[in-house]
Amino acid sequence: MTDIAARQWVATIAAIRSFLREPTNALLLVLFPPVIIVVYDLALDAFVGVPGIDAPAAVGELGGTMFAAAFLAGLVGVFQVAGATGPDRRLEVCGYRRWEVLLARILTIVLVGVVVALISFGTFLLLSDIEPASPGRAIAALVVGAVTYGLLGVIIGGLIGRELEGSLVLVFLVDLDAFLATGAIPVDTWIDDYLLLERPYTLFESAIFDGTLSTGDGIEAAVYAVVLLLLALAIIRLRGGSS
Amino acid sequence: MASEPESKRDSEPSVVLEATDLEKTYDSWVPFSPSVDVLDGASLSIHEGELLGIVGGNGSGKSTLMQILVGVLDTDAGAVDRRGTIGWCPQETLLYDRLTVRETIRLFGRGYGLDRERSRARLESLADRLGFEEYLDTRIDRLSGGNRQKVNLSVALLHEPDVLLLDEPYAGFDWKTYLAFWELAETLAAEGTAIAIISHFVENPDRFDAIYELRDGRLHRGESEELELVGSESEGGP
Repeated sequence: MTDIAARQWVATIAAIRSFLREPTNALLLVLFPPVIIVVYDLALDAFVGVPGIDAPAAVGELGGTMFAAAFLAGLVGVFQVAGATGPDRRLEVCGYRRWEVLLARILTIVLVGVVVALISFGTFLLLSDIEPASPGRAIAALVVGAVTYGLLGVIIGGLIGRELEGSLVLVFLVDLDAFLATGAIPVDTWIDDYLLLERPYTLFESAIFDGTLSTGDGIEAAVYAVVLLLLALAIIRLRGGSS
Repeated sequence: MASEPESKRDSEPSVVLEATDLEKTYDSWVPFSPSVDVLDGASLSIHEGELLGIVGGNGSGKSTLMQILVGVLDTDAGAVDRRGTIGWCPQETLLYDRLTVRETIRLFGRGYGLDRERSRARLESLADRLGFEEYLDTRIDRLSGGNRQKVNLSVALLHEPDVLLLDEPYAGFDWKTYLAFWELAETLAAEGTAIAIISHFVENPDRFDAIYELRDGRLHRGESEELELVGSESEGGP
């Protein structure tokens, strides 16, 4: 293992340990997906029968699953940076380059993003009657949503710098985003086109029902992730204070 | 430039860290809030094997000076020339709360380029010396303030740096640990490590080669009664 790889490994494992050792986080990983999928299903069931609403019966389960994956990964992102500015700077004094610290954060988000996507999808399978056309693609779509929100969590954590406040902002954003992305309410505004979960949700829905992933949506989701990554880089760079 | 400190050595020790004419002002983003001038031409030279004390009142800018010397804070003007590896013990314990002591040392050790075995050996040595052997598998946020400070200090000492910059390093130490700290500091200085210790006050001035007071944004060398202005316009140099 090269020196950089060894440093990345140690830093990433440390970040994952730090996150999982917060009891609230560990509990959320287990309890949040089933609770939110059930609640989303109950809440959106009421909309499905309303005249003018064009949403599949399973919209609540799908939306809840995406919500769970995105929120949990976003929470990881917030915790990665909020309140860690001081120790991160010290890590840099001790020899880590700033990009190495950030890379460790991104790796953590991707790894935890995969885990929360698997947990959310597993919960979806347990609670839903739907037989996914392509489970692998559905998980991939959830990973895209999770990583997207993980990066947004880094941005929120970097800007706000506090775990509780950052989590509150995150939950507000992901709730609004996941709900509108389902299309349960036919909103036709420019905002709808720029929602972060719009593409991941579309990918997830098509993977579940058709077993396909649209290349166009996939590219757009990747562009969003790259833009968020660049923003996260800029914020981490700015919050460092020293060059 | 700082005046030549009295050296305990016969040969001329080399400068390992030199700060010249440092200036720092904290500007407020809030309208009508005043800017605060913290450093105004502070200069300092630290030589190999030298043990310096830097004192100053609350809000005098000691920690700001330390952060600039370390390199985690930019200076508005002036320069810092670091000619050796730095070990930094910040006033706040800047550690990851949910990692154990052992994991903390491994993480920071990797940053310094130490492999697992070397980190373990250094941890055992420092834990034995400072007295926290029984807490190696305890999380940082579950340690007492004094033990947390021992780990904070150990991170700075881990890689056996050329220059040690310590900001209130013995805050929270019990008497035994305080004495152990000084024994360690004196051993390191005798071996050639340059050490600068920032504190609110100095209890034993004899322990230091030189003591500086940070006042009005500048470093003044000497004892409390008669402080020599240490700045760019003063005579002498390292």
